[in-house]
Amino acid sequence: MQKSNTRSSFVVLTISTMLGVLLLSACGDSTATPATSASTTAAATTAASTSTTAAAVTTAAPAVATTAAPAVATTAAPAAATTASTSKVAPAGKVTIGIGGEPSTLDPQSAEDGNERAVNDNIYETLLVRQPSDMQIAPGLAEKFEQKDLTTWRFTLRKGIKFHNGEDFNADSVVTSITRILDPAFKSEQLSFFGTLDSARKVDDYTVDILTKGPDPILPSRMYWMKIVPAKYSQTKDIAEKPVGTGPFKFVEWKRNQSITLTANDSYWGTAPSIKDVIIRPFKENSTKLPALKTGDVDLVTNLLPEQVSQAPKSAKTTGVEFPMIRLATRTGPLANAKVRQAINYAVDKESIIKNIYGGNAELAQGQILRPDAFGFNPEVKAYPFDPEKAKALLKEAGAEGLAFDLVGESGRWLKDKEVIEAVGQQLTKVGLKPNIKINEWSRYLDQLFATENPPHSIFVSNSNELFDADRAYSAYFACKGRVSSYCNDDVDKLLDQARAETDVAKRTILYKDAMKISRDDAAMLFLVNISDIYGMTQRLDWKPRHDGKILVTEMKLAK
Amino acid sequence: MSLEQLEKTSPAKVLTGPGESRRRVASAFDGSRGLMLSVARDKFALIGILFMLVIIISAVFAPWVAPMDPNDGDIARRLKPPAWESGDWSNLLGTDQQGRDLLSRIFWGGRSSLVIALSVVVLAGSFGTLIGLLAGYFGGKVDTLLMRLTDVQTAFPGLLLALLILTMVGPSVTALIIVLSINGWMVYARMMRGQVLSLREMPFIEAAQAIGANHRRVMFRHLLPNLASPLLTLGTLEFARIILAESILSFLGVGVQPPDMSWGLIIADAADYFQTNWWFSTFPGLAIALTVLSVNVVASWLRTQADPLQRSRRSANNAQGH
Amino acid sequence: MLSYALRRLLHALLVIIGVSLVVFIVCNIIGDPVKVMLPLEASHEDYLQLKHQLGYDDPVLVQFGRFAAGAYHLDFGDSLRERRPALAVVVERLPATFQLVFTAMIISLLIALPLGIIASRHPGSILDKFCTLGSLFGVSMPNFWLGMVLVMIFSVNLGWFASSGYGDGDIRYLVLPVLTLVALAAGRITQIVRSAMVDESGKQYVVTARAKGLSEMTLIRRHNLKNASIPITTLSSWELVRMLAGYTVPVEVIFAWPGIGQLVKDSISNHDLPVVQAVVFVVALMVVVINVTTDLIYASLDPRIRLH
Repeated sequence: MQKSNTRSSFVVLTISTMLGVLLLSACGDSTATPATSASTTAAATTAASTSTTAAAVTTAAPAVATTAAPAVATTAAPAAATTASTSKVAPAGKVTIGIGGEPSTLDPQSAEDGNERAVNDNIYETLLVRQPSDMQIAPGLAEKFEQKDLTTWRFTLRKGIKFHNGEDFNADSVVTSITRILDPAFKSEQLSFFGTLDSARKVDDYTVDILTKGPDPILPSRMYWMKIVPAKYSQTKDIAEKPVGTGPFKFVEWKRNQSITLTANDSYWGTAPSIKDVIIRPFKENSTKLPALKTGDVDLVTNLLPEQVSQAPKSAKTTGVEFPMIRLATRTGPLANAKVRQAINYAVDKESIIKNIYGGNAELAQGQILRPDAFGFNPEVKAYPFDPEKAKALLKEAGAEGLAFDLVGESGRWLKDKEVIEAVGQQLTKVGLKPNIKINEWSRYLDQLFATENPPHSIFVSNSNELFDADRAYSAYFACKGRVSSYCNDDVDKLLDQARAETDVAKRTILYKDAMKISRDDAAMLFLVNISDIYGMTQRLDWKPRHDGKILVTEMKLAK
Repeated sequence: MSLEQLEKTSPAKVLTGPGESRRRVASAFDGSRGLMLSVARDKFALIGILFMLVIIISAVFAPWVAPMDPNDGDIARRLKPPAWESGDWSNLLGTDQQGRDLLSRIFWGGRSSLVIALSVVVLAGSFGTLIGLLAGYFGGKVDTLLMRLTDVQTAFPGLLLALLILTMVGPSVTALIIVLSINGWMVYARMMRGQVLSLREMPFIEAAQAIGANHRRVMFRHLLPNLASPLLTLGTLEFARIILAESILSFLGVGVQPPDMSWGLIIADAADYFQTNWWFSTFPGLAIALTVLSVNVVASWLRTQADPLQRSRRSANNAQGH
Repeated sequence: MLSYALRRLLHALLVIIGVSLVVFIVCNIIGDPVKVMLPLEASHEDYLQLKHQLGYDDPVLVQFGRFAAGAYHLDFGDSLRERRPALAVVVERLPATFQLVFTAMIISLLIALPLGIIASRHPGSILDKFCTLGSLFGVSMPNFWLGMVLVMIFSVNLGWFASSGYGDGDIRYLVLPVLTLVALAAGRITQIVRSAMVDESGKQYVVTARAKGLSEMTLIRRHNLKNASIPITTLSSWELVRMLAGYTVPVEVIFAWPGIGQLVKDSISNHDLPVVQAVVFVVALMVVVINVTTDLIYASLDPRIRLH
């Protein structure tokens, strides 16, 4: 803190020599500006005084740090906090959460949009949930479930739950939710999560059968992902702007591009949340997160940069779901030789990337794009060690010394994406390869990613595995016909097909383990790391981030 | 630039005689940047010229001047502070997020920034001058048509369209140069036309026409040489403007792309770090600001050198000032 | 006057048609919005179907006809990302941008007018030098960088103002983005004011008036400023146009200001073509309205213009 102050004071000096001239030259103008600045200055002074308090609070002690909108926050928050401390029942206080950007919609079923999810995870609920501690599937809106036969799953629903608008939660809601998302005319972007579903059938008011097209071993995971919408309200257009769920928080207001307000649902069926009001604000630029945290404008931000951790009032990290990697074109082109691809894997110092670029906030990907707790993870498969000599030897063997190839990437969609691409480029250059880095604008990048017939030699991509299962990721990246696959190995293909239909857990595990082994040895990817999610928080917020990246306000507490 | 605006928005000019028009043009020039010279005399100009020379030399000779390979990084050495803070003099201005030498990258970045600006000035300048010459020389329908075109395009939201086109075409240095040129020729056309209008009736032009010189000869042999000095001044002003425009587009990700570098792009890289690693955005930003400033100063100086009226006024002003 | 106004309106129409045409060509011949809308795992059949559904596989002329007809009714179709009318997406962003731009403009004028006049009073004086140099600094700084520097100083170090966001009209959020815009605009307007005033003061009538013994203040107020007001007005209106049609983009991006500048950047990079077309159309319209208004005010001030 001290040191950064001296540094920045240097900046202040340099810059203010320039600015100073400008401002000083406004000297003659001190008579001229008052009219303008009158309002500005007046307000600024007030603002300054409030924020000084806030700053003092942040550095000194947690306490009641006031948030952005002074009028409401200052008056409401302290009072509320006191209530919280005395009685444990009534939710109190206000938390401001910064998410990655503005949601494209608030319909929980139409978009594949992390920002929409961040909001709706607090409003809507799913039949099954994952426990915060170990991510195991647990009952949610469904009391219990069982597999009736290979393609039928029966869910028994909780009774007495109402949506925020008064509609009952029952079998109709579940059937509507599933029918709606599967309706081709609805064009849900989430279909890729639910492609295996066939239909849902109401058995009685609180029992539903969900039918799958073929055997689907991970149906429970899918039901942890699908939000249940009210049967009647979901047929109206309003649902895209005014979400109505069964969850612990009710929607209040959406000021587009500014904020979304939620408030605690008094008649929530589960454990009542401890926080009353929630403001959700989009924070797109990394650079804006830290100042907002420091001034207490926001209590929680996602994806804090590792460099900012030391300056944040408080931070927390957890294993995330993102696996950045570089897809190598195995069928054609300069990297068709497996030895070259293995050399590439040996040439990159993943540990150095973790340490330097992610500031230690990532874990080594063990030759597979799965976390150890995901279904299909093979503990025997290990990451390629960093061994430049071996890489050089392999390249020599393959006659590929000085090999030039394209390395395609983009910038700004994923944490440190461009930096990782450039660092990989550096390291590949050091073993004598000639990667030609092309950073593309997003849609052009997507063109290249989807061009699986004629793929770029290598391309940076990041896979997020929200279902904790090998199926979705491996079908997409490692199957011959995968949407984003430039790899084709008949054995792997067969294994993935079998595993997809295999409902015997033990057998399915073995199938995936074999697929992991082959694809790793084939070096179908340059396997890199698994990024941890880093959250920046104010002192007053007490929260342990979840492994699945969901931001559930019910799991948060505000310090007194 | 102010010229473009004044020309565009004051149809009155068309009414006034050629001499008046010319004077107005001159004063517009004076208005924007030349004014400082009338006060600051040549001390500022000298500093401006010296700084500009330093920038140009370091850009031209970047491969020799830069202490290190600008693309040679090592993430273990990333984000090192400048020498006087870190005590390590191998990276005078510190390193960037890839552990590359910031000073070297600024030298090389200046190279692309200056090359782009120069190319745009030459391209847009040639095209705009041609249009202006044709419009001014032939007058009548040609003039109306060309100037209508110029007017319409001047009212386009240039930066927005540049952003759109570059995103769609795919950003590259070539695309950047073309798009900036397409956006920038109008100002030359306006000025050239105004100047030609005022020169057209001059005896030496009439004489050339009388002895049977063809149009092309009159335009390029007789008119153009007389327009060299305002053109040079306008070119210099535009040079400064283009450096800024390039840096904005590169900053927004649709300009120069890695592994090439430009000042705007370095700042884009630094955007995530400006609070935690101050040097990273500060030095390339200073490079842009000081370069643009010195080019502007030089443009003003050129202006006063070229315009006797202005020079005399300046001495008058000085006399008054003391 | 009427024919002059008509001519200006015709010109305005040409500008709008021209801009729309450029946008349409760039979007439809070069861009492909459909693939951007689909999730990573979507199949080629999905792609074709969606393309067909949205009408992006019709002949270009048919698409243009539809676009032109739509634009005439101010209907640009639904935003591909938000699935609601594109124009609504644009219009709801306008207030934020207007707030930013007009505040910046007013402050710029309030700084620039006195500065320019003071500078022009005693050309060559120390005061003049400072004003001139200061305005040059303002003009020479890349605004996105200036924005970062201001955040660093006033938000991170001093904690006076908010670093980014809109903050529901809280003025703490407005200060820094406005300052960033002001640096450039005030710099340029100061130069214009000064030169216009110097220009006027060199004229014969001023010399005469001064010889008659008119006080300097009267001179400035009654003659110089009045005559100089024409270039100052036009150039200020141009400064406004520049802000609306460009400089707000990097500034709104830096400050996460939810105006049209940010929308331009986002919609272009998402290839949300209906929004791109709507936003460029709206900006072109604003530019044209400002230009025409300025022209007409100008013409009413100076009758000679109308004659042409």
